[in-house]
Amino acid sequence: MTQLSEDKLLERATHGDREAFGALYEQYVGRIYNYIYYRTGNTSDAEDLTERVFYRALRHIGNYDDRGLPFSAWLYRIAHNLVANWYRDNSRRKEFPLDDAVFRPRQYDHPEHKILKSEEQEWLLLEIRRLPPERQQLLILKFVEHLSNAEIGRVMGRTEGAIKSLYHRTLLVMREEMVNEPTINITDNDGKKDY
Amino acid sequence: MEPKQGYNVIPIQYNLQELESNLREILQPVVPTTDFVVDLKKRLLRYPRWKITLPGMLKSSMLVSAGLFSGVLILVTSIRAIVTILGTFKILRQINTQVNKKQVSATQTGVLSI
Repeated sequence: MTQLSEDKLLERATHGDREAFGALYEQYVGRIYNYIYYRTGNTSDAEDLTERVFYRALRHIGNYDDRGLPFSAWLYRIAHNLVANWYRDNSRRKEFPLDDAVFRPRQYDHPEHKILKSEEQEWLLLEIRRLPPERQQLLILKFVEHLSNAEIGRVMGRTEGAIKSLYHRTLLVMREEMVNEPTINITDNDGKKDY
Repeated sequence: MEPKQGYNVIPIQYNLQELESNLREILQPVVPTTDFVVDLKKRLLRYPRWKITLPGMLKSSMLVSAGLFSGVLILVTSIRAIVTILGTFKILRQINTQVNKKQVSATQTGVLSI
């Protein structure tokens, strides 16, 4: 879908055209779902919050004002606020359900290495969700949405340079966490996980 | 880094490229179920129309009108209340005056009869 047609859809949607809003919904539902999924860590909350994002967008689309930011930035902001409310209301910040985290085993891995790799990835996923929300958003937009730094900057309302810098600092913090926690994602003698 | 005794330590000699590579590997796009996507779209399309078609200007003007109307209503009610209170005072004063007059006239009549 071209930018022009998205603009047209937006214009029609802001004037109450439900079909146009439906088309925008189809275009963005996957991205918003992904963002919320990686912020909350489970599909049921991701579905619930995605639903709320689009209901809220539908209620306020009449007031939507394009301030040079993409429509996705507006949706991500709604999603960000709802996820923040979700954390506050449920006090689940310390819970990491990860009931259906995506781990994709590589076929060429040795079984033992595969287990270690999976544990390592699980730990990394937990680390991501311990990061401040804006850093989580950056990582999700970069790796899940495959957006460039410039595009991420537009969505997050920052410059490309600021995004680059934030990304680098995020990686350094994560690496430091890994170095400071040598027993990461490991089972001890009793077989208990040592998070 | 020496592994702790009794622990199976995963190698963590990460450089940033490795970390990025791992992030790329675990942060894979997830797809919402088709049922969820289709069902939500149906519900969004059925959502009451008036809730989304009310333009911002109309909404604002309605709020301002409602505020003005409420303000005028409160003002009128207050004036009426003040008038009523003043009226009551006046009536009470009149009654009081009449009672005093009656008492005075009764006293005078009594004096005359004596």
